[in-house]
Amino acid sequence: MIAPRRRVLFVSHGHPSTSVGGAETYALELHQTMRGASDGFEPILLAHAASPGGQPRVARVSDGDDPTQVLFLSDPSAYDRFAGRADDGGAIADAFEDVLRELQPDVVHFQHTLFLGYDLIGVVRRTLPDAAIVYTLHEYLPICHHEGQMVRTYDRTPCLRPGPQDCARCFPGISAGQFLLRRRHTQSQFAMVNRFIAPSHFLRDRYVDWGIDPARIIVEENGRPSADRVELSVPARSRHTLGFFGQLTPFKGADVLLRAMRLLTEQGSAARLRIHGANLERQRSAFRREVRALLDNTSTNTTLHGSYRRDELPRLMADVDWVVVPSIWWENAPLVIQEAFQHGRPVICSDIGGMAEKVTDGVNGLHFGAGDPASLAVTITRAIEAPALWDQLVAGIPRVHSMRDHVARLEALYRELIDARRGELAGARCGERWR
Amino acid sequence: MSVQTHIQTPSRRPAGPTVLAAAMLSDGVILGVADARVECAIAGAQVTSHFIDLAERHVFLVESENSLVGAAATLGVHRFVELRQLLRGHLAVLDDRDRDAVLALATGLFTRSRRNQQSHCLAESLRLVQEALRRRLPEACDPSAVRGLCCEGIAAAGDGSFAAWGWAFDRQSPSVRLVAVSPEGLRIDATDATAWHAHGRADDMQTRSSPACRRGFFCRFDAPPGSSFIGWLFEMHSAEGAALESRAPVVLVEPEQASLAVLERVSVEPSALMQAAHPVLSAVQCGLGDARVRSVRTCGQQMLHPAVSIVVPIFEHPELVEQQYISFAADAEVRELAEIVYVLDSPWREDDFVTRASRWFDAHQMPFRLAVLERRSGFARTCNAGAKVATGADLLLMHSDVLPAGAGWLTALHRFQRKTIDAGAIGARLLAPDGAVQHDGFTLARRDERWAARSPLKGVDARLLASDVAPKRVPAVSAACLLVDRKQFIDVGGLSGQYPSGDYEDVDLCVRLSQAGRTNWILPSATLHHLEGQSRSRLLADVAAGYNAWLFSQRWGATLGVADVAKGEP
Repeated sequence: MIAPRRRVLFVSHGHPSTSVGGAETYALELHQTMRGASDGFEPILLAHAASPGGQPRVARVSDGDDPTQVLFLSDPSAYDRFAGRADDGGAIADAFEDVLRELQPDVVHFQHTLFLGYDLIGVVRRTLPDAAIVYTLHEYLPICHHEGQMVRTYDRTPCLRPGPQDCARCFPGISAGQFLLRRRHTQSQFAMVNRFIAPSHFLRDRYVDWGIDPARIIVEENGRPSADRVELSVPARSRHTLGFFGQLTPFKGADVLLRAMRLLTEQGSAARLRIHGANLERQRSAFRREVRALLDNTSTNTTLHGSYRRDELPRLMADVDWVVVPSIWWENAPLVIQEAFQHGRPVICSDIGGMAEKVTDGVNGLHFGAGDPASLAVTITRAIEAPALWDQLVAGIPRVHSMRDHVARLEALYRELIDARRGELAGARCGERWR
Repeated sequence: MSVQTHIQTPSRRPAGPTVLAAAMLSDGVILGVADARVECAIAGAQVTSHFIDLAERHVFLVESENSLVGAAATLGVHRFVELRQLLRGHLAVLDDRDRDAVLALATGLFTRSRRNQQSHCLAESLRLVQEALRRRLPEACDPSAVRGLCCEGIAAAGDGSFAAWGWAFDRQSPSVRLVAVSPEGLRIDATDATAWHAHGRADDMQTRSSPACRRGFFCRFDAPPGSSFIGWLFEMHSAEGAALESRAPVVLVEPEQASLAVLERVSVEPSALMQAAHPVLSAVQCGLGDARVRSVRTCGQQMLHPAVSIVVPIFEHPELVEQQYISFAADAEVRELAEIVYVLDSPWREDDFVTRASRWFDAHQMPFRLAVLERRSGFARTCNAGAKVATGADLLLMHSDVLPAGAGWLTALHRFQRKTIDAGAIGARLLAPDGAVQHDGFTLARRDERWAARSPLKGVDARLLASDVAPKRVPAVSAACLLVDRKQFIDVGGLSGQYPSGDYEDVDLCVRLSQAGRTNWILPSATLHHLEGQSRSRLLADVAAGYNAWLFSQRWGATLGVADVAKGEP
């Protein structure tokens, strides 16, 4: 007899049909792969979508034909980003509880709780006492109120172990006491999670510093749907073209890269830069002006190509030799590094956090001093002036973690947790309320 | 003109005079005008009549305890007119002296009997009479004028005493009299009970430099308990005969508002005003009485004979309570040793709290009890009410913004209390969110004849004191986290309700425990976070701080002269 398939509920803060972002895309890809590959687990994706003014409820994905993808609508303005929960008198929690009762998942795997609230963890625990709860940490939002970037607001330097008083310095309007409470609230909900997944060792270390029990957090890199090496047919040429892929935000360090290019222009370097990035117009005006001015200064060696579609990536990668990841924040497990490796492109990146972890200096890429244009310029010069170096680094690029392997690892984890959960539950029961 | 009062026993019906107009002041009192002196007598009823005989008319006031209709019939009144109509048509036209006489007659009603003082209807009628007939004085609140008067605030202490404050000056007269006039027309000379001070409000700097010209006053006076809260007047009379009047704002009645306003006034010049304000503040606090518990409910299975009752008074910020509750629920020692008693100071928030707390209980299954007070009662009374509801051998008072920093704190406090024979209050080391010490026991220090509690280690990084973990004797500990034998707490009278929301209730308690032969301790091994000031409103506490320190000195100054007590030795 075949054992009944167990059910996994993925909870995500967005669906690619309504919002583009790395974590949303990953969640959907994970869901689709598990749905196609697994006979042990049946996944359901519950993705948040904004419904201004509306009551929380579920809905179909508008252009989808997959019944296992469900939208969870709620009013994003009711969500308190600081506290990490909706201030709606429990409406989201109630609607979510209904979903849980209806679907009865064996595992609830949170990809994100933004717009939904950390308190949904507690809702799972009390509604489905024997369900296993897994939480993937995609960035540092629980630790850092500055968009989860762990970059100080006042000087844009990275911050490693923030305490409440450090956070209060970044946000003068919020007291250290409120930050302490924010941490306590989040941790009290996290206490009910059975296992956390960190896509990088660096991120895991940050959360262990912050207070998560090391035994409850494992490192498991995000999988890529197709992990095969994409062979690009490019004629032999000198390797002096750099590519930047990503959003033009201050955190991503596009300005650092452009400053380096300005230095290289002055030196008459052969280096060329192609920028594939968008959303400059959404940035603060000071940053926008700065980037525009830098683009003008470097017009001889830099071109701005704007945004791109996923399917264009092989062609764009073919046109560059190096991928530069100059972020000034720690990053976690940047997708762009996986993509560069998949296309056989070595990476030049900041020497901090998840970037330094995923790219090994001198093996499959080069490190430079984070936030330092001069260091980056020197590194680029070294990269393009030593032709043997490029081939050597390309040879050092590892195979990318495939989504299939990733799914298999997750399913093993789910099984382990479900069994452990059964053991814990002997004797626990719900008490009577008021008398 | 002559004024006469007759108290008549029942007799025959009079005849003759015609009543021109009559109005009811309340359901037993008739005010009227007749063309000749009227008489009123009803068989079996006590009737009091008063007359003012004027040149062409006679004003009468008849009080009949239980027979208004009979009285009206005897007087020959077939129809009452509106009081305003009577006042406007017949009485306002009188000259000053005659109006004064009518006013005195009406006001007399109010002072004569308790029954009259309890009648809102009469008080309102008297206010109308007063407004229509009183002599009006000029008003002047221009600081640059020769003289000026402004009543800025007035508060009722609840026991019939009032406090009023403002400013008054007369450049041509060194001394002035201040008279408070109640809405019912009662005149109360407050001159002798007035404290004068420089009117030093921050927003009028230029008058600060010339305090002699424009002087602040703070006075206290008694009025009959039924006096209205709207319509008070203040008059200033100089020796030279100049007079001004000023309308007072609405009387502050709600205890917290009244305390806050008086304390704010005191803070303008504490040295001049503390003594004057003390009886008022004291009366306001006494007026609150003990907090009464409206209901006690239990969520979950109530613990029988708990070792410790953790009493958490709740004023604001339910999200703080939630965080603390979750910490308790995750702490095996709390579950084993303690019952949680929440005391809700604001009864109107019961539903909201019950809804929230039910969710917490569902998620964490930690039983607790909830006591709801009948009305807002302040920190000390709320804690005292909690102590009575509690059932534990030990009482642990805890603010809702105190969060355990780790495990083991409760056992440490409880064990220490049980093994120390003469233990009084046991406090924990409290840390601010940034890791600095927030509280590590109070010391008492005297400066300028004034005693004040100090927190010696406040602000020091707690890691500096990591090796300093032995229990230490202190004069007092903070009620933010204070463990005491529950019976002892009740025996010494609990927290004192005399301090209007400040920080001396706990010090006062510890002094009383010391005097009862007990010792107070800080246990650094019990460490908790204290998000100071998030659990209740700071506004009242801030303005009250100076007064509380003063009051503490008044109460204990003589006793604390013994240096040992200040060091924590009994």
